[in-house]
This record gives sequence, structure tokens and C-alpha cells, in this order.
Amino acid sequence: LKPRGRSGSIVKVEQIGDRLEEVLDRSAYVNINADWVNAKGAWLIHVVLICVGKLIIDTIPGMTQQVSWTLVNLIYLALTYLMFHWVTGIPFENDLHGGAYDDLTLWEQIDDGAQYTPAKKWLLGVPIALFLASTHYTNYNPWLFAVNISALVFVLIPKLPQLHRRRVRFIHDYASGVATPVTP
Amino acid sequence: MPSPMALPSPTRRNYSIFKKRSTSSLSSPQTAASYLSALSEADARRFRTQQAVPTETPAISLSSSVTSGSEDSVLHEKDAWSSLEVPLQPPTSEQVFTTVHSEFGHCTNQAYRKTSQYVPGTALNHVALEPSYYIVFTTYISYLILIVLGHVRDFFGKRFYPSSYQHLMEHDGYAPLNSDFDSFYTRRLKQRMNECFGQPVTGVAGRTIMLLDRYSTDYGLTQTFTGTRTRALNISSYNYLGFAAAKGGCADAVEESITRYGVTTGGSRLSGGSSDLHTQTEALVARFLGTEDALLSSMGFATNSAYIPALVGKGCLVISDELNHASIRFGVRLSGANVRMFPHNDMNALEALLREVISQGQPKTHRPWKKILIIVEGLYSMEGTIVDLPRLVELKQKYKFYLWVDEAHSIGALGPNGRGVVDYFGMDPAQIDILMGTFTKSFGAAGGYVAGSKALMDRLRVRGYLGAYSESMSPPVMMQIVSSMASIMGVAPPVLASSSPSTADVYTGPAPHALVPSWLTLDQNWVSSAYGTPDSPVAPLVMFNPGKMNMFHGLMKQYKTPIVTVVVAYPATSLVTSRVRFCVSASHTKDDIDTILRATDEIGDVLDLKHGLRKAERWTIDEVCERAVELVSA
Repeated sequence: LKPRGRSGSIVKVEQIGDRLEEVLDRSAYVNINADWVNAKGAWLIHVVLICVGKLIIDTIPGMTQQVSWTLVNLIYLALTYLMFHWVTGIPFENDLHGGAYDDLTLWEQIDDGAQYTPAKKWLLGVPIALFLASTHYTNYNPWLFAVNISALVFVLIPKLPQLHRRRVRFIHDYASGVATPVTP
Repeated sequence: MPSPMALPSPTRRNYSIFKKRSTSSLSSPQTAASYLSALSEADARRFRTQQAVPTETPAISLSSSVTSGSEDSVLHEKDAWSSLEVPLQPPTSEQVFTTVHSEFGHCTNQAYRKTSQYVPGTALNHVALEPSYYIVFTTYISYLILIVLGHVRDFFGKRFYPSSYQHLMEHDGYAPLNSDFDSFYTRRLKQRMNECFGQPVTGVAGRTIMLLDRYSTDYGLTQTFTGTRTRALNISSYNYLGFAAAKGGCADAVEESITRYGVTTGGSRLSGGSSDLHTQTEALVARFLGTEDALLSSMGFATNSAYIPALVGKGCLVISDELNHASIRFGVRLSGANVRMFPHNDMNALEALLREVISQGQPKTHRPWKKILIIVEGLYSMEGTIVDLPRLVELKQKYKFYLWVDEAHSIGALGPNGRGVVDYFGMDPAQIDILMGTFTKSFGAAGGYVAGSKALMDRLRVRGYLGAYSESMSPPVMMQIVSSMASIMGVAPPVLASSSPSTADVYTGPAPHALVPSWLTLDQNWVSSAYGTPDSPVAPLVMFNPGKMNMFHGLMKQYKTPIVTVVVAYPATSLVTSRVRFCVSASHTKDDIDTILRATDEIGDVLDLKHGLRKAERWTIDEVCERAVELVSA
């Protein structure tokens, strides 16, 4: 039974995805949408793609190292945020898992929701390493530093275990406490 | 010399086990019972004598080799016979084959037989070698490009071509018909490879199969028939023993049963649709497996999804292998039991998991579980691996859980007597609580069975909802099961008057079980991205990149001998391990396997599929073909 949400709050932190049927459905299948992060080469591909991205951005005429590293940092953070923390659900095989993952982002699906796993540690470490590299190459310019660090903090917040399966909602009203599905 | 088991010659047509229903019911069970008892005698005799090489296709001095006769030859008249319809070696005057070469290959070389039996001490499943980094990176980048392109196309398509995206967008106040996110992979990845899937075929899916050619002008969205047909070598059907044949003793028996029983018994098992043929078939299945009783169901998927909920429910725990089939997962989800998974075939991890769940009990309340059921498959068709049954039964005796073995692929195909994975390991079937299987793969029929102790089967007959709500198995299908099972057990099916004049020792093509394909040379010496165990009739070849799936399938179809294969991509397998799956059959001859290996060799060079072993350690394809027997017995 989902508890009725308080209506009219400006900010609300809501726990999702812990109904019994969903839990049972999730434990019946290996989630291959999220399994690949533990496969061979899934960690190094981040490094490869960052290098390739940097090379491409460097080819833009008039690009300085400072702007280039900042751009690489921001684009990487934006794309990984989109992939791991924005998109929810599994884009295939719905009759097999019956929508049990529809509310969960890819981050929450990794390793069946276990925290402090090696894959999650790596995925936490790469943005931080990239941030450090970008601050080094921007020579600690305060404006670029501010941009980089706020982007980093913004991306690190949903990776915290305290926010696992929790959503922060701003002025979100539900009709009589029952949520309508938000995935399109 | 006619077998002592043979029924009297068919000239006396009155004496047949297929008595009409109008005759008195007393004589019919007697006949069926005497048939079954004679069958069990022959079976016991076989087990006692246990010859190394069971009976072979006998040589009779008739100089005919049936190469055509199925209806397909009527559909296409040709002047020249292709190599698929005529055997490469012409038959000698002493060989007679009762099968059609395009359905079941003609080959009597006894050196190509191998007994399917587990040799204790050998490694059960080969550990696949890991791919190199550049393959893995290119695979990830391929998927990334496909996904990005897919999203871009969706984005612009919805804005510029709204008419083709109507089913995915809201319009006129209606919600979208399909969710565009849920169908993303189907539309953007699978549709690109659509020529590999859904291939329309006609005729018998035996050694060769007739494809209806088609092409697509709109990138896989629709297909158009060209009007031509191609006969291709069929390495994709689950036809492990070659019973998919339209000509032979089984087919004749099936036709006879339609005359006698009709096509349906008209009802579910518990409400008037149960016939004596059902009882006989169940008894035969139980006898075949060595259990007390068996229970039939008309659909293989439904066997799992109906009988698992009848056994476990809320408060029970099901531990299933990671790679179990969808039907098992469906049944488990339907039952409401808790589920845990253990890594594929890893008995140490299973033991650790067992210790954890038994000590912890149910979640939150920590009460003991009502029962713990472990569900494994005998042969995993996507991997080609065989379950580690001896170790599993050891664990069962130690931790006292219930065991369900799903032998969908292994029944008939493994074991020196064809009795499945239990026979393969030489174990006692009473050690396993439930043996489940299907008739689709090795028996050329349809449907499934559950087998175990009599008390359990009697209870499942009532509690499983198939008894009340599903149709009963239809008589011709049951007759196919009976005749194929009987010929595996060593009894020739009753040869009816319409067949050749020689008596019951003209066997249908598949002589029994030891003909489990010995020509499955383990690819380790040549291309080492093959998974599985050498004894498995399913050999997956991993190709990693999604783009190679399409190319491989297409190139195989265009090879000088067209070969139709099954490619399996993400999301049916994990992300990096897309594969092509070869299902070898008893109906293939060594020449067919050589053809397939040569085709794979050529295409593998083009597509860069050979990884793992260094060039120096590899054998050439000619070496592999010549030294096949040595490879297999090693």
C-alpha cells in the first residue's frame, strides 16, 4: 500500500519502487540493462570516450585548453547524468519484468540496488578525476572552477546511497495521493 | 531377423494397439498393457546387455535410396539436384534408407558415432576465453552509435514525419498506443536486423528447410516476397534426433491415429477430454524417464508456468539459475514465491546462497521458509552448458531442498539411452523430485510433461490449473510422442501395410540415442569463442558486435550451399555476447557439418570472428574436417 503523499508541499522526498510485486518481479530476472557495467571493458570505455571526446573538441578552431577541458567535463557530466540518473525503466522486454523497473534509473538498477559496489565506486570516481583534471588545466580560474564544481556536486548528489530510490519533488501534486506513471 | 519385440506382421490388421473405441473396453487396456509390458521387457533387456554400439541401420539388399518424396519436390521442379537433396556419397547397393535425404541425411559411417555420457573427472563445461579489449570497445561504441542515432531519429521523426509516429505520440486526446521508450530497442535495433528474424519457411524443418525469399526496401519495417524459394541447410531447428520428418514410421502412425482418434478429444483433461491414449502416453513417458508417473500438458511454456505455481506460493523460496528460461521465471512470478538467483552453474555460489537463505529465513520475519525449490535446466540452449547434476544432488542431500530439473533441451538428446541429463550422468531419477521436459525438441511433437512420484503427479493433476482450464493434448501429437519415444527405447513402431513390404526391422531413420551428433567437433581448436560443453548438441558461437549478426546471417544464406542460422542479439543475451547458435541434429551428416564449418571459416575470416587462440595454435579447416573423429574422442 502506497502511503498517501502530503499534498501542497513545496519540496517532498518520496521513496519509490518498494511494492512487493515489484520487488518479486525484480528478483526474478537478471537485469541485463544494468549488468554490462560489470562486464569487461565497461570501465575503460569511459576513459576511451573521454579521450576521443577531448580530441574532437580540440579540433574546433579557436579552442583553448581551459575551455576544452571544461567542455569535456561538462559534456561528460551531462551525458552520464542523462544516462544514469534521468532515464528510467528498461527499453525492452516488458512482458518479462512487467514494468518492475519503470521507476528506477539505471544507477538504481546497477547490481540490484546494492550500495558501495565496485562499479558504483568507479562511476563515482570518474567525474571526480575529470573534475580534478579540469581544475588543473584551467589553472584554477575562479569562474571556470565555480562552473565545474557546481556541475560535479549536481551530478554527485544522486549517486549518494542516501538518495537510492528517493525522488525530490518540487510542488508536485498527485490526484488523491496516487501517482500516475511518469514514464512516457 | 525380426526383433522379438516386433508386433505381428501388418497383414493381420485387426490386431493393433489402436483399437477403435466402439469395441469393448476390456480388450483395449489389455492390449495396451501388454504392449507396455513388452516394451518394458525390451527396455530392461537393453539396460542389462548394454551394448557399446546399439543397433544400426541394417543393410538390406535393396538398391534404392529414397531421395525425394516429400511434397516439396512437387513445388519446385528442377533439372539438377542440389547437394542438399542428394547425398554426396552415392549409396551402395546394400544400403537402404527409408528417409528423405533432405529431411534426414543418409550416412552409415559407424565411426561418426559417439556415446553421450559424462566421463567423471573431466571438466563439465568449458570456460570461454575472454574477448580482447578492442572487440569490447568496438561493441560498446557500436551500441552507443545505434542508441544515439535511434534517439536522434525519434526526435526529428516525431517533428517532421508525425504520420509515421502516430502510434507513439498523443493525438486527439488519445494516449499513445505504444510506449516509444519501451519499444525503443525493437524499433531502432531489432528492426535493422529484421531479415534475420521471422523468416517464413515451408515444408519439413529437418536437415534442410525451404525458405521463402524476401527483401526489404524500407530498412526492415516491411518485407516483400520475391516469389522464389531456397532450400537451405538447416542448423537452426531444434531437431536433435531428427524426428522432424514427414516420411517414416512415426508419420504413418500419426496418420493412423487421426483416423482412429480424431484430431481432438474435445475438452480439458479434467472435464471429459482425457482418453486412454493420454494414460498410455503418460505411462510411456514415466517408463522412459524411470519415474513413477508423468503428467502431460499441451504446451511446453505452459508446463512451467502452470505447475510451478501449483507447487510453491507465498512463503516459499525458489532459487533459480541466472540463465533460466522465460517460462520458468514466468511461473515463479505467477506463484508469488520469493526468488533468488545464483550465478550460472556455480555450485559453490549456490551453496553459499543456500546457507544464507536457510539461516536467514523469510525476509523481515525471519521465519523458516515453507519450502525451498531449486530450479535448473538440464541443458541451457543459449550457452550449451549442462548442469552440474551430481554436485547438485549432493547439495540436495545435505541441505534438503526440492529439485526441479527442466530438461526441455536435454531429454532425448543427452545420455547413452537418450533419457536426458540424469542418464548422461548415470544417476538415479528418483533422486530428483520433479523432472520436467518438452516434446518439442527431440521428439518432433509438441507439448510438455512433468514427471515424478505418483503421489506428486496425482496431486498436480488436480492442483495444476492446466487440468481444468487448458485443452488436452491432441491425439496425433500424442501418437508422435509415443512412436518417437518407442523407437528411441528400441521398439520399432508398428509398420503398417502402406509401407514397404519388408518387416519390422526396417527402422525409421534415427537409430537410437548414440547418434547424438558426434560431428560436433569442439571448436576450441579452431575458433575459440564457442561456449558450452562438447557433449551438447547446441553450440553457440559468440560474435560480440551487433553489426556482425546481420552480416553473418546474410553471408551464410548466400554461401554456395545456403545455410540458415539463428542469431541471438541483445537483449536476449547480455550486452557484449551476441551469438549465433548452431543446433546440430542427428539428421545432419558429416558432410553437412563440414560444409557448415567451412562456411563459418570463410565468413569468420571476412568478419574477424576468430579470437582467443593464436594463429600458430589453430588448426586449419581441412585439418579439422579430416581429424574430426580424433577431435571428438579426445
